[in-house]
Amino acid sequence: MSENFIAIKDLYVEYRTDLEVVKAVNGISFTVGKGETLGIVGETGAGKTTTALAILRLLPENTGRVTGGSIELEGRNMMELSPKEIREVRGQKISMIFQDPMTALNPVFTVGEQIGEAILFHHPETPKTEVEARVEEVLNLVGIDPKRKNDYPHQFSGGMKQRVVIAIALACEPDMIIADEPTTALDVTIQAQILAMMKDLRERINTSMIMITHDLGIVAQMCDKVAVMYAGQIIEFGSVEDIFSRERDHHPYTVGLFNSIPNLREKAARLKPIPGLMPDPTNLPAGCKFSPRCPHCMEICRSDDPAAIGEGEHKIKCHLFDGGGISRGE
Amino acid sequence: MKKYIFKRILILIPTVLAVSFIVFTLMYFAPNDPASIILGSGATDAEIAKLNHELGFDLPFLQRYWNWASNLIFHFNLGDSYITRQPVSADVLKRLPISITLAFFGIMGSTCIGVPFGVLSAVKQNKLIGQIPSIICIILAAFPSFWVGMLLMYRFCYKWQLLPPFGVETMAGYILPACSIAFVYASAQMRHTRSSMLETIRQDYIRTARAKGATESVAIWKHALRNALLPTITIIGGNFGLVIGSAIVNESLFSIPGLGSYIISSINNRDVPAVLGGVTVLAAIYCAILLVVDLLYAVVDPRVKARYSK
Amino acid sequence: MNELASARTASSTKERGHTLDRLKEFWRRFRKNKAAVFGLIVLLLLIFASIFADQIADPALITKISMDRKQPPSAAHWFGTDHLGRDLFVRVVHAAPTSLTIGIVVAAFSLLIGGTIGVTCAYYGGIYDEITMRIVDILSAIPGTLLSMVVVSVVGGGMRNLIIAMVIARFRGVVRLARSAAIGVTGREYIEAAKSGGSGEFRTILRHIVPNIMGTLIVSATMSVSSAIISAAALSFLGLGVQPPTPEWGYMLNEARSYMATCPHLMIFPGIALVTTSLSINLVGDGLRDALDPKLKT
Repeated sequence: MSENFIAIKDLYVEYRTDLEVVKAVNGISFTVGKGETLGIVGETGAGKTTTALAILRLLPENTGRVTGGSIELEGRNMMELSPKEIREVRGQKISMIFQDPMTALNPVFTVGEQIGEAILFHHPETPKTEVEARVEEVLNLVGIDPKRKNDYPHQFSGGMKQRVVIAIALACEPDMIIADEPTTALDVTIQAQILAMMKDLRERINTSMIMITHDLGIVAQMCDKVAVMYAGQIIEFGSVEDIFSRERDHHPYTVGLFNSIPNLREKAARLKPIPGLMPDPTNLPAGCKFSPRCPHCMEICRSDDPAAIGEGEHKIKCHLFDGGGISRGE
Repeated sequence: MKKYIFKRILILIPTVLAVSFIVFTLMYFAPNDPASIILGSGATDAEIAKLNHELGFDLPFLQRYWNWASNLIFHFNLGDSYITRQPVSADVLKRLPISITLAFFGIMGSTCIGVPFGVLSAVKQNKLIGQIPSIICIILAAFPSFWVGMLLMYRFCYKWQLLPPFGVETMAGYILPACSIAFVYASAQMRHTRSSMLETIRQDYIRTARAKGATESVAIWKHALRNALLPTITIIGGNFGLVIGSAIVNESLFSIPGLGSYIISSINNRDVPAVLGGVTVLAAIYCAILLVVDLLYAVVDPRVKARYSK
Repeated sequence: MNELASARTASSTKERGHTLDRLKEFWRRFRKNKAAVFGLIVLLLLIFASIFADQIADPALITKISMDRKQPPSAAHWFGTDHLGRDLFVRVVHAAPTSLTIGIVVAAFSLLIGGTIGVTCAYYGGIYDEITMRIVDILSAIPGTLLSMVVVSVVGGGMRNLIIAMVIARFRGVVRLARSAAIGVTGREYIEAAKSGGSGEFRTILRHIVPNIMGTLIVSATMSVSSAIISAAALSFLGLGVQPPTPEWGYMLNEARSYMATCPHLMIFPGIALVTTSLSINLVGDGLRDALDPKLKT
């Protein structure tokens, strides 16, 4: 087992406004080892981005708050880091790639300046020539002509902008990259290019990665482990083989997710979405959060929040499997 | 880019001419004819009619305008004042720099007060120190600038004898009127900078900067400020019209021999060519300033520059 | 047919109920803003003082010259007397209705004229829009105060002419505001689509566009009142506005100029009156804006 790079235990995150409290993350735990890629899957509003922001303490200052649990980085509790220390982590130990490349770059600075900044924030004494060299190196890595380092963001297409964002993330050779839906805002063809590039980079630099996505296809391509999130909880966790295996048991939500992907081979007249909507995070149901939508909902589901049960790595939070062990394909 | 500038300058000319036409039309409805004004009440009807004919007053409306306009375009001549019988352009050119200097100082003052206040109140939004600039500016916005001028004049000229109350023989003469303009328009600048800053801070690229490891001050003062200040340039241009109005009033208060007081006294004297010349030149300057502001914006914002270079 | 009629009445009663709820909600939000409420109270006091000016201060004293010249404030003359021995308090109080009237009338007419032109420009578009906006652009090349001054120079002074001159200078701003608000609210395509539906839509469109932009326009009109009052004072200060014997704060300030060093009270009281009026209106306007759209507030 590789040493854990990041370990999250029972994390709770809330957003508080004058009017309401949004319970975005409700007790999640997972680990990511060195060189591992964890995929976090779920619908919009499941709490995936909030988790990522919480790790780097980038939650909106006035409203976001971690109300429970711990985040450990190589054994150190991140909640206790001073602002200076967390800044050292950001961009250097852990880099983040955001969802929308169109707005992630500052329009008034050149691309080269913005990549160079990432280096200078952490190593301010680096001589200019070295910074420039590194900027060009990193642009090459992501497939952009280094001569374009003096261009402004608006001169790049969406896919190229995202490459720049990735370049910024890579500038300091981070140990881990958190990618929050990095290809959602891009065309499918560009998406394939970006993913291929990320896979290649990951192999070359051996970074850990947390890949946040709602696209199971990306998970299958990129990830070693998968966490399925729903209403701020991880309702199923396992290796990518566990999750994608048809022989294993799965949480009804996971089943629903897989079923909602249209099958090219079947002749289907209608798509099969999961009926209903994710619960209101200001007013979560008691018991299992999926119970209002679950086709197998039982009495106990409405009152008791299930524990995560399972063997080895594969865990499911569901009362269906309460009675001793997860069956293996009966 | 150069083509764009050239095009804009070209459009300026018909606009200014249109302005002069409107003013000319308005003044056409004025009750007095020039001869009565020049010769005074003692003149006979015959003398009045003769002088009116000499001045071309009995020509049709459009022809009179054409005479005036062609005089301006081809000879750079704004005609002669009814009162002094001297070229209007001489007076106008003498007084123009003074008014421009005053307006310029006024704008500088209001920007130097308003922008920092605006940034401060946006960054320290929830703390007390952020509320104070807002309150000050709301109160200041209610003050008429000429009253601020009077209060300053009272305090600095009469009570403390520090500054001259009249005229601009020395640069010191500009201080008080510029201050009275600045205090009032600082409020508009502050309000705008504040909302621009607030909006910019919320942008995704600020979060990117933080995620890279930027300190809060770098994220705000380097990344946010440059973007937030861009619209300020346009606002300065937009406010310039109000500043000119304020400058005119303050010229009267502080007896500054600028274009504004020239226009005021010409109005009171019913000196039509002088009014026409003064207003046209002032409008031309105003349009020119707006153009400069637009171009400045293009220079500073790389996205706009790209658009105009095509 | 009957269903259609009853559906129409049902929706309009629902709309009216809905509107009442929105008004109540709006008032609740407005009330929370202490500064705005304070401004409103002061403003109401000013309006009250204007209406009952004659009862508060004897109008005969407005022009009554006396030998008690340039007296500082005292028990007999609360604000002192001016250079002609006239009681300043009486004059300041009686100038209030002048300023308030000018401010409200100018703002109202600018709103009416500018708003109509702006909304019709947005609605009809095309060459009408192009030409009108060109004209507005040209008019905007003359700074407002200057334009008012020129108009006054032609039509003469006095309150009525001042109002006309100020409306001419101000309506162009309202045109721009109304036009962009109207376009912003409905989007061009909506207007085009509705137009192609037939001219009977015209009234309905106005019923949809106007209520939506009303908020923006009302806030702008409120702020416009205070700026009109100050502009009127400035023009009167220059002698190009309200003429004597009608008392006006700006004009009083002009009279105070010559006696500034010895009788500061002559310039302090009319100035305070102007600031108080303007500030209270601004506070109310701010409160209106925040109450109408709380999202705008950061």
